[in-house]
Amino acid sequence: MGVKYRYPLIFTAGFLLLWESYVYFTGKEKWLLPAPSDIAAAFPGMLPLLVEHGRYTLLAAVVGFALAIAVALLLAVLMDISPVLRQGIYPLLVISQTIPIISVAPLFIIWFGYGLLPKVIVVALVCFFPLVVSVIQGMEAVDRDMVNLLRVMGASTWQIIKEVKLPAALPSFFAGLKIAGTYSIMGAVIGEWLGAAKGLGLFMTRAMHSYQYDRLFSAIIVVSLLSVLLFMIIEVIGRLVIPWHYKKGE
Amino acid sequence: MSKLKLVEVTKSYSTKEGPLPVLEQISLEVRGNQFVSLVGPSGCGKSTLFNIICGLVKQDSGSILLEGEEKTKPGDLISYMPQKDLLLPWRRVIDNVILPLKLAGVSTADAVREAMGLMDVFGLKGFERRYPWELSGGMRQRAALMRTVLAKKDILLLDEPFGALDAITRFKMQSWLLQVWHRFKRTVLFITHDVEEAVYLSDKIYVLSQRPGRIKLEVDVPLARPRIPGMITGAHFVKIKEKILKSIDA
Ligand SMILES: Nc1ncnc2c1ncn2[C@@H]1O[C@H](COP(=O)(O)OP(=O)(O)OP(=O)(O)O)[C@@H](O)[C@H]1O
Ligand SMILES: [Mg+2]
Repeated sequence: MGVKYRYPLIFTAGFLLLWESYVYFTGKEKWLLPAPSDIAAAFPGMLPLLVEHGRYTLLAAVVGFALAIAVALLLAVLMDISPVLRQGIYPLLVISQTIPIISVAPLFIIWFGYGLLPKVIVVALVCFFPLVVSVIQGMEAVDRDMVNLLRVMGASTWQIIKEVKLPAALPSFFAGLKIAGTYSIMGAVIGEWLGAAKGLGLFMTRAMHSYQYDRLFSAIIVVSLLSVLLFMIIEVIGRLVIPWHYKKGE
Repeated sequence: MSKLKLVEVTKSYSTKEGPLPVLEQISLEVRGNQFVSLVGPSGCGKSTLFNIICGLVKQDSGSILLEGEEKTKPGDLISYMPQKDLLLPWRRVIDNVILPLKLAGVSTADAVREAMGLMDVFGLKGFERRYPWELSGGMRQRAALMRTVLAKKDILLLDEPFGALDAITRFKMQSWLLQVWHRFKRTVLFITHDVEEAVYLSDKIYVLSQRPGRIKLEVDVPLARPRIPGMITGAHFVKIKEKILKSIDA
């Protein structure tokens, strides 16, 4: 445990030290670039406000993430069953990823207002692509012989998906979940950035406009912490759900 | 009565370098409750023949008769144990062995009750809740065999079930397989590289040539049953073994 975290801690400390001394020696104004110590000093006072806004961001992220998971699983299964759907949908999926979310998010606000829904949609859009791709790739990597064995046992297409293909796709799916999970908080912040009544994105735009960069950085810390937290939760769930994947290597 | 009959089955795979003839005019017959073995060098098409019998691969010509008829769904009569054990890593031993019953619509409670009663016979008592990766090679093979037997099909196709085991474990497994066969009264078609194993287990042996596999020799093994390990050094046993080895060399 201790050894595992030694180098990440040393490097993080080194980075913060560099930053601190840069601000100190160049004499940068606090409102231009606050030093880590300034941020640390401002952080506790801001915490109640950050928690208040963070709750909304987390809610949008989790709901959007869940929506993305449901849509991704459904699409992946449909595409596995039907080659026609697969060939038809795959290019659309790729194209959907080339659309800059920033440019369409304001439309969602016009359509759906300043509430939770437009943020959820932005999060889902950001998250679902890595998820679909990871599930499809995982299902493709299934051992053909296992599928054949089940076929001889008389399994239906759905039974083969349920008993073999989806379980076989789990390691890949969890890799996708980790990527998408980390994106989800950022997606919610982007959604809020463009118009919201509450949330860290709104908090950040306000801080920006009033040149309170210590506030901005405090919010960034919370965003990072939330993202890392989601990542770790997914990692822990993965270890419980796919023990065979982790056991093999150990 | 003939349970399984192959009439002049021929198969070549199409590869990038052109057609690869694998099986030529294979005719053989297995009668009810018989134990019949196929011996042949690596790559001569033994596994391919099994894949053809259970309908995973289509032969170019010739026919497969099950109980005198060509069947569209051979899986109704056949249970197949592939060369790799193909236990599903996400299922515990008990859930792996009841898989064919579950696919056939038996309730989990009934399937588990039946399987639990047989764990002792298959030497898996106490390991029901383990995952496949926690088992030794011999136990994995026994679990795979248990799954094959529990499917309750008349004909068992066993593809080198003991190929990956050390000599001592292998020898134990052979005697144990004979007991299982005796108890469950099934028709067995068995693939092996090992001539001694074939003679020890079988009522009849087919020797295949190098690829493309043709039947070089058909030998009856009229040794008394139950077979006992001491027979291996007996004059009659040795004579049969020599006859097969000579035909392989020729
Ligand atoms: N799907 C396939 N496409 C092309 N060639 C194949 C295919 N499957 C098997 N072969 C080739 O056919 C030949 C016979 O393969 P098969 O697996 O039936 O041999 P085998 O007798 O079971 O060998 P072993 O004892 O090593 O298991 C091999 O040369 C193999 O490379
Ligand atoms: Mg083989």
